[in-house]
Amino acid sequence: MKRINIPKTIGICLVVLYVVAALIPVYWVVTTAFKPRIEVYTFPVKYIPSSFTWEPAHNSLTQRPTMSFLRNSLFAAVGATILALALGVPAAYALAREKFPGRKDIAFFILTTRMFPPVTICIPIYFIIRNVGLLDRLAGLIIVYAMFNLAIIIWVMKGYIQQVPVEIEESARVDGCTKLGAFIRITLPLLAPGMAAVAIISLVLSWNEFLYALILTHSPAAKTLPVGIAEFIGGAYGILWGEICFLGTVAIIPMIVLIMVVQKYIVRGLTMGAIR
Amino acid sequence: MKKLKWRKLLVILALLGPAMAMFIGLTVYPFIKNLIWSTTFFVLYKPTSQYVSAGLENYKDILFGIEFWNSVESSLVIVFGALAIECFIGLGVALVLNERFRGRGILRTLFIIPMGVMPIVAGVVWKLMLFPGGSLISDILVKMRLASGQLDFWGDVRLARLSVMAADIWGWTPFVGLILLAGLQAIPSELYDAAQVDGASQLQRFTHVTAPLLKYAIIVALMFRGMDLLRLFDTVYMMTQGGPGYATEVISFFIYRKGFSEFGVGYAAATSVIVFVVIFVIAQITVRKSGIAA
Repeated sequence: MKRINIPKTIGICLVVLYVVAALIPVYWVVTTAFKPRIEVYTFPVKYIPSSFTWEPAHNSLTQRPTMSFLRNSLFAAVGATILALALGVPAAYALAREKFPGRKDIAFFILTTRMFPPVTICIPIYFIIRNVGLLDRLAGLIIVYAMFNLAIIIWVMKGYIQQVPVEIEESARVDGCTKLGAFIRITLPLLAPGMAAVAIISLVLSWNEFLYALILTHSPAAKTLPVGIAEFIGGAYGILWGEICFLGTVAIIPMIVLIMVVQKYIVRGLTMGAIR
Repeated sequence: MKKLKWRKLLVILALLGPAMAMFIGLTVYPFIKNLIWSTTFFVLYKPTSQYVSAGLENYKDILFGIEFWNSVESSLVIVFGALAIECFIGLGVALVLNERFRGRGILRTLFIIPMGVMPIVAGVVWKLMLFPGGSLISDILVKMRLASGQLDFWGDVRLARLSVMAADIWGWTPFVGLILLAGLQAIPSELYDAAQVDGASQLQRFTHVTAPLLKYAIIVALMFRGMDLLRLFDTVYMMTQGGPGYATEVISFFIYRKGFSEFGVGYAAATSVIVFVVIFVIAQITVRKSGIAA
């Protein structure tokens, strides 16, 4: 006879309840995207839509440049991630492996760039991007997003590189590899899972970013999905909840899947390696 | 010998240089720009105004006016309210998920779903669920007999602040939970066995073994969540635009409104400098004391 642990059972039940409650907003976005307009808010509240409609989906795809919002979001997120990895991994390697004075101060300086609210530098950045002619261009967004993710990538990759024993690289060099060759052939493959995870985190953060997209882009050629969604509120026709929720569904489903894929790495990524 | 040192320096410069250039160009330089602008009457639509010196007038306006302190109050209420609830629920969930039971993996995966939801969309759906007239949340509260009728989430100051908090708690409790879970899993089980042998009760095991060893994880959670909450912008923009009145105008939204809606770059820059300095000092203390940057 197995003893039933009562506090544990109650705890599990409470967590299940919490998780079910926490899924309600997701359920609400997805169902609002496909329910008839008159059922968006009714009194009494309708929990299960009476019928299914493509109307909001059709409207948001035909009446708005939704496809270009999607494309821009994708390019901005992927571009920023690639740029941040290209700049961040070498920097992480230098901080993890090379010994030089001021190394700790530089690492700490990089950490602080992640601490202050991005809004505090948004006006100067607006002018910088404007002066280099990248206002309302995807390239401008890519550069800014890469900078915001750079600190995470450097700190997390620094931790991963430090975990790989130097001796492996050194023995490869004894066998005739160059320093770069040893890094690429020996260390890099070992870093691959962590690097993929941190790349996905950077991708999700860039995809979700709103403030800088709002101030740095004006035309459909460069606007991203979050800005497109925000525009639906306060239009001439009131709030088009169905359309907003359809775009919202499109925006969140892929990111939820990605977050699930990297769930083992996400704490390490978002705490910049402070928790492993 | 000397030549070798030069080579090493060049290698380091090549590896670190591009990243550092990025940080200097897009954080240090903007910060210096803010410092300079904070002493001018710069307005966005009049480029020449950036040379009109204001001395410390902006700082005086901010520190002796009511708007800045109002946003500080809103921020503090929302930051500490959300932090407290996130830590409470997060700890509870972490303690449960640290146990072994069937379906734990699935529960954990479902638990983190809100973290993937774009903040703008979270703002939209919480706005919709709280919309006056036929809101889902009011309806659920009435069914649970916690409210007597539809609640005015957008008109009442306390309810509006609670709404903004709710959206953040919903989205980021999983993050706190995961940090604390990682902290719990790092505690060696021998310690619990030893405590049990010594006759410690379940509660004593928690207060004498779990709590002290979880301190680091809790500090990390508080620090990262605290910093994230100070940058809270998207959900406020979508849900309340700082309203009703200025009840939910958090510091990020205040700076944005001053700079981009009212074009007061000088004023916004001075506010940014103040916020920056305060956060830097707090961060310096927490990082040094907790040993995060080891």
